Amino acid sequence: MAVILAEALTKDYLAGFWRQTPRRSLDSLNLEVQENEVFGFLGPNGAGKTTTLKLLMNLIFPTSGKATILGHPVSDTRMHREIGFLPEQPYFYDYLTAGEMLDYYARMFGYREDRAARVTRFLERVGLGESRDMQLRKFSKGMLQRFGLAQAIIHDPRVVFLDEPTSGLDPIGRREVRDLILELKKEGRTVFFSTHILPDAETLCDRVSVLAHGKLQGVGSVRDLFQSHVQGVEIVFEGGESPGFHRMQVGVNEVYDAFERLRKAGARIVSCSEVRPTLEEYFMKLVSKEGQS
Amino acid sequence: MIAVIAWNTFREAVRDRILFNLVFFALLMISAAVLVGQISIGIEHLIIVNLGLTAISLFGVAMAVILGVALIYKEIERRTLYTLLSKPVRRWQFIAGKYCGLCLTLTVNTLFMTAGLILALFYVDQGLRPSDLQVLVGVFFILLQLFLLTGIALLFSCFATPAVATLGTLGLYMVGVFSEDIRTFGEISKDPMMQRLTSGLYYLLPNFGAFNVISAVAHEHPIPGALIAGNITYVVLYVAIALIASAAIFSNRDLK
Amino acid sequence: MKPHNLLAAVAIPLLFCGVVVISHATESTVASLQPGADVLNLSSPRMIKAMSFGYDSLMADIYWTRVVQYYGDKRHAQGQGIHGASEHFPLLMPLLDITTSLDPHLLVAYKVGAIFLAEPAPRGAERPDLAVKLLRQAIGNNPDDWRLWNDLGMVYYEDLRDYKAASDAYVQGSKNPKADDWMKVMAAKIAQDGQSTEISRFLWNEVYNSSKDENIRRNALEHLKQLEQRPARR
Repeated sequence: MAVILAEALTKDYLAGFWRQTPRRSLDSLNLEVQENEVFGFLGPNGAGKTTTLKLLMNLIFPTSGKATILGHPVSDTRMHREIGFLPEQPYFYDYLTAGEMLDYYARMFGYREDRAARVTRFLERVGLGESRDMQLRKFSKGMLQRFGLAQAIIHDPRVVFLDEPTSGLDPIGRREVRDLILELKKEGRTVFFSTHILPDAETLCDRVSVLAHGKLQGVGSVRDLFQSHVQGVEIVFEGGESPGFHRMQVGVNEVYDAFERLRKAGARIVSCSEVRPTLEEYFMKLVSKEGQS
Repeated sequence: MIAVIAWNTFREAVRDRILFNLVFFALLMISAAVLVGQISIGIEHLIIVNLGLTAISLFGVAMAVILGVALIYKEIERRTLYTLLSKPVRRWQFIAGKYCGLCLTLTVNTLFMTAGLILALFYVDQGLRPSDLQVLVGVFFILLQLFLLTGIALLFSCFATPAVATLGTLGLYMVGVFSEDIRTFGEISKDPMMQRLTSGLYYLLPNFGAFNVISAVAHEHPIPGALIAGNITYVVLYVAIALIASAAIFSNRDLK
Repeated sequence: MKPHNLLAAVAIPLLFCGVVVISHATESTVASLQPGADVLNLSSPRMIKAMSFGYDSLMADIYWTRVVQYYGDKRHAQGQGIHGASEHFPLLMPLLDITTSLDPHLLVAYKVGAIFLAEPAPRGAERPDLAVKLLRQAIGNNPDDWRLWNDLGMVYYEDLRDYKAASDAYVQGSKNPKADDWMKVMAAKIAQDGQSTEISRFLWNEVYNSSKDENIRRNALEHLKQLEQRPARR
């Protein structure tokens, strides 16, 4: 069963002061996300990624089309017990401490006796155990992002939605978030995250989709899209006709001929690796194609 | 769920320094009443009750408007709603919780100011009189007024900026205080259209004038139980209107 | 229609009906608790002027509205036969004093105020002496308005029957170069004839024709009707 399903999901905004004309922000999005997938929702700025997430969270309402999560329409608030959401650049109440704010969220799920222990556990899980009594207005950007993750998963949701989870984080912070996402997958949860940081998506995602100018440009598994397409072989060698290190790219069927040529020239083979397309190349191809059309 | 949101709203409001300042000024005004009373021989009690209840009312109105007009707007603008509404919270529950939290805040602050007033009466009269219980009835009516005003401020907060919401709320408050005069004006004019219009306005707009019993309390006139019951019912009905309308507007609204 | 919209569409009108019912049920109790209509909490024109923070003119207009409302309320209560309604408008002069102190050029307050003050009960306060005081203030603050002398003369003539004072008022008024010629004629006729239906009719006609204020015109018409019924006398 598709855990997240969007059917012709469309969102128009009215723009202009006197004569308001509709501006299409999302155009007939069709999407399916399966259980226990880590699904990357990619796109440049302004593509409609956040609009899609807001539609799924029922923060805004579609102009047409529909979406379901775990088989329930997105307007069904009861389903929110099973989902968690980390918005981009999350905001919380300034004058509450991390402990108080997380406790507030935990109350909404009906936790009682074990609530305090749960709050402590999840703060520690995101590395904020020492900051429990600090007011949120004193948190750094990275700390706020980690707190946002804690509130998104405190109730052990089946599906987690993350909007730019690594944005604004230093390399350590990004690594921690990536590790957390992999942990969530190992726990059997489904993760849907939007990002424009392609290496993160390449490393973490089972499948990705690319959105540009409100339209879905492509969807597929990372393996199918490029990991199985070997474009060639890159050979790094030393010496030969001129001193120093050199690299050359040859077709898959030309590898042995190349080795023979290099051997005859007296070169030393340093390394030999497959050349595959990157997510970045795939992304740029799709985005620029939409830009041209 | 409503109780959870209400308690959190109260906790957050209490940490806002502006409330302390307002309560402080109200207590200052009550202290001033004691001084003024000492130079008005024979009517110290009257002056203290009049000035004290007026201070509680005025500062209560200020608090209700300042906190109420930004209640929803602030959450929308600062996007604190994103994480809240992704929880199993219905939008109408959020509205109800915010309203209850603010009413709790106003009640606590009003009780502090009332304690100051009772202390002032105790000091001046060297003890409390049975008729001082009437002061509590006066405070109760002020609270009812504030609950009604908060409902209106909350409604404006669902669709207007704080500046516009403040004007709208205060405007309705002023009209509501003078609604009896507006109706009398219509009766005097003898124009049937004007009479219908002013009568309609009297009944439809919030009648804040009906809660003003400060003068009666100051003169130790008893407040009829029927009026207490009537005003409670009025506030319940009118606040229900404001909250249902707020919930409908908020539920239809795309959040930025 | 979404459920919450449907609920709002049905519940809100029903709740408003409840609000109207409760308002109706409690309004008499509320009215009984309000301070009496004859209580003026602030009676010092100077204090009120100070409290109006420069918006004297607006405050004057508001107080003028209160004068009209006060007069109307009293007349309304008289019409309803309410107990205590036959009192002679005790707050009328204080309210007029405040109004004209705030705006000394608010002519309607002087003119209509003088009528309310001078008229015999139950239509007025039956205090022509206060009406004279008010009009003399008016003349002092608005020396260019010759018609105020006419108003003063009317009070002396109709209410106080002081024909010498009335004639003097018309003489003073006629000295204004903008004054109509009949002022001089009236001064002489009153001095010569004293009370006369012809003079009264002329003066009330003049008042009716020269004023745009409904209260003044209505009052003048009343007097003319009374004169029609009176047999002509010198």
